[in-house]
Amino acid sequence: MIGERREKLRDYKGEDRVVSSHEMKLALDRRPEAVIRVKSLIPSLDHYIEDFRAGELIPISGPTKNGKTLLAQTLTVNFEKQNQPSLWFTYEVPARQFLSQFPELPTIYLPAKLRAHALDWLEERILESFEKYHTRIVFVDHLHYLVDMARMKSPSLEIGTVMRRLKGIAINNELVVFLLCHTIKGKQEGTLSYESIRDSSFVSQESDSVLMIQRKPDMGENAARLRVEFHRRTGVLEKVVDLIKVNGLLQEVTHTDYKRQRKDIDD
Amino acid sequence: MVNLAKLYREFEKENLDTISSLHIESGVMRGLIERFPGDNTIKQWAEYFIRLNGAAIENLVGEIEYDRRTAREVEGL
Repeated sequence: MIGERREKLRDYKGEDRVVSSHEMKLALDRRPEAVIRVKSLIPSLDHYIEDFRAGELIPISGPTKNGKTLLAQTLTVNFEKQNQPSLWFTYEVPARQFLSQFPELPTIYLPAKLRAHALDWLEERILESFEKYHTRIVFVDHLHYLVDMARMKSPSLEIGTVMRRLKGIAINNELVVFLLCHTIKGKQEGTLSYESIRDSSFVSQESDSVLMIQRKPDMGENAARLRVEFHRRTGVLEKVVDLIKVNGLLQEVTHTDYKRQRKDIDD
Repeated sequence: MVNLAKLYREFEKENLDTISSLHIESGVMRGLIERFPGDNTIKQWAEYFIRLNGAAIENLVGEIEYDRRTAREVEGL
């Protein structure tokens, strides 16, 4: 019996067979390093992280009404400019409101009807969208709609499981997944860090990078600060990008914008 | 008059089907760009078709909005 099993394993040719580093390298050399590389088109952010690549899971977090969805919408528009439309699961904002928030309607794909707390369903729709429209970018707004808080015994572990599943979906299907997450209540004041993300340290542990956004009324009515908490591929830590809302979307604050804002505040 | 409104709805259905196929076609174009990363000619052609489809989709959306308005007006007669 044991001998038969050993013989079977010796001849095993499945796609998950164990291979040598040389075979793996040669196989990888035949494929592009990443099938998708998209820029944020926010210059400093692109300088820090280079681009977003297939297999990456990126949480976007910040207090409520501080620009998480707006940042995600800005990225959506900027990705479309690079011929990479996104698939959106907009649980937080109703579809009508979500679409009307774009200054000009971009090409986005979204399920006609949403189902919460259903990871298998989410994966199925992601694959459907890829097969139909070749979408490689996914936004989920937000994490807590993927877990059933009421039935959860250990939120931290459950969220960890969801994060690993999302990471798996991103890697296996060569996608970039953006996940919007809330921060812990009472963390609106002061500087935020990835430790402010609600419920689970697994969120940052399983991620390739964490982007935090917070409004900065002291810098102007429409100003916000984006922090790249960390970025595993580039090794960047705690980098800051100042943003301003212009014509319904975020853009990086230029020197002229900054001078104008300061003048407005001083006046 | 009611039949005319029905006709406009048929137009809408047809246009919606076309929008759907144009999106799928653009997806195929994106797949082509990805499959031949070093081929600039394929990239340029595919991007051209995606732009063309985008313009066609915008026109069809405009037509549907017009058809809906007209159908409502016809129903109101």
